[in-house]
Amino acid sequence: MLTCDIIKCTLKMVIIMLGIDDPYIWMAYVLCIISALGCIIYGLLNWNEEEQEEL
Amino acid sequence: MAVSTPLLGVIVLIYLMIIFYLGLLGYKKTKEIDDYMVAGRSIHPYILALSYGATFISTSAIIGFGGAAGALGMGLLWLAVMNIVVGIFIAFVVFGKRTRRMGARLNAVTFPEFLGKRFQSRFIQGFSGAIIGIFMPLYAGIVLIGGARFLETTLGVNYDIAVLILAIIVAAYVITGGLIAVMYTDALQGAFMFIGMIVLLALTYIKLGGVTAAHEALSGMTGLVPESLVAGGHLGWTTMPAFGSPIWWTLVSTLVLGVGIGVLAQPQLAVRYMTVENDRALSRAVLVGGPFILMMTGVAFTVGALSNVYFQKTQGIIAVVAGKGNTDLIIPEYINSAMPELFVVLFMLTLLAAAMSTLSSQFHTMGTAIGHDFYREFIKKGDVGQTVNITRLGIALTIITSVILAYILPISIIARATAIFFGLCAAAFLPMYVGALFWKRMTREGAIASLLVGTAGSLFWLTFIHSKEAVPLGICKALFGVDTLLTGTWTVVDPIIVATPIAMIVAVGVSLVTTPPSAEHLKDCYGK
Repeated sequence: MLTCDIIKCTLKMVIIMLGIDDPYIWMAYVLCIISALGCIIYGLLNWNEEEQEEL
Repeated sequence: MAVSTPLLGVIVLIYLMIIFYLGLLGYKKTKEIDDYMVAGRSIHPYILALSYGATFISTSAIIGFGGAAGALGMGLLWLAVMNIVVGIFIAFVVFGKRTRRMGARLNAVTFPEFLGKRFQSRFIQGFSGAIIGIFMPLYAGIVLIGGARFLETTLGVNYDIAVLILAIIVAAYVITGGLIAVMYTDALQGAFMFIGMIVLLALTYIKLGGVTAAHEALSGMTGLVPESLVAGGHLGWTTMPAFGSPIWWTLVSTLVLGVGIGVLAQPQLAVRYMTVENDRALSRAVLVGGPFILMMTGVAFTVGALSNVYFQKTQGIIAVVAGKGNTDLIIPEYINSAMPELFVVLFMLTLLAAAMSTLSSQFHTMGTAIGHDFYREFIKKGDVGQTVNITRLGIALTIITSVILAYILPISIIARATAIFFGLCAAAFLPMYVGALFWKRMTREGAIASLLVGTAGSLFWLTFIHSKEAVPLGICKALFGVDTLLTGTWTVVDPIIVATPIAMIVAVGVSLVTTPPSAEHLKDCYGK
């Protein structure tokens, strides 16, 4: 219940901060940033990735 | 975008001198065939990421697609999401690592050669090379036009001469320095593009009163959408178009899916996975590639849409009107009227860098496709030992073809060139490429069938059904007296949505009824 409220609150804050009402648009806006951050995190976590011989 | 300042001329001159220096560096480092074709398989991960990104993003991605966002709105940001998730993450991590390992095992130096060797077929290599050699000049033609228009409007050079100058400059370092020169110069150009786009985003939000204020102002303009766009399904610049409407289909099928997925099977991008020496380099490249693409397409689409707010505030008009009905003029108009002159100069350089980085990779890929894949491997059955020289000749020939196309083809066809090439590559190569990497049971016959069906299906759909290509091409009209063979929603469904799944089904079906590849060959490809 509490988790749901936190998520709802966070989403409301995102919508207010972005000034975009349509969820399909603010989701795209937020996903752009999250996916770029994901790329950075992936790169850092696999900085010294071990080599695989097979596919 | 006329900037009457000698400053730009001096900066362009310095920029070109650095480019030539990097080209010379590439020439000096090129000693073996592998150096010329796949940069010696030892390129630095950051150079790979910037080169991949700068090749991926051409002038038309910034100007053309940014302008499209000015007309269609922020729904285009889904393409930016696809560009990062599919174009960078899935491309590097899922496709890139396997391509690199298998490419090194099979000693492949081009994308068609990689496919040809995986399926033990010279036909696949030759046919793929021919597709690239025939259709990529169209795509290169549009990039060449974009770059030449830059030289024409900013430095006052005659357009016809500008096309030649640009082609000769890029040709000089691609022909002599091969892929090392291409990737070094790409990386520098990518860095210019990154800085230019960051400044553009920051200045735009500052000018419009911050993120929230800018977006709210854009949301408040819904009532200003022109009637013609409302009829097509446009519901506002911060709202997705009406589900199933013509604008929704264009946005989702052509732009988001067509370009978003099509990038996986782009030969000039796929060959880059084979330029690094280990998986680690590809993982590190993801770190740079994701943010780079965010700052390219994410910024272009956001700024394109927000230009409506600026034009409304300052001139009382929307972006499409400011661009006089031509979406390609929206971003240039916005930069010219909203940005300080120093930034206009920086942005000019960003556009020139975007054009040159894409062109150089196109020239290199076309040259290797014609010289190495088609001529040496398919026609000469791999006998000729002068691969690099033949490739250089191939590059020169395809450059000449691109220049001629840039001169003679009507702008309506050239403008569709990116979509045509992306769609064709996806349908022709993607099923075979996915099978090559992930399905050991896929056979040579299955691969050939999918290549032929994908190519034919894509070409048929864009010639006879998809109105955006069929109408300007005029072949359907000449043969059957109608613009398109089908009507209604079908005419806005992109070829990639139809031809790629059909080619995929054919690949699976034919593979299942033909003899599987030998265990020995599979071991050569996949390891133990």
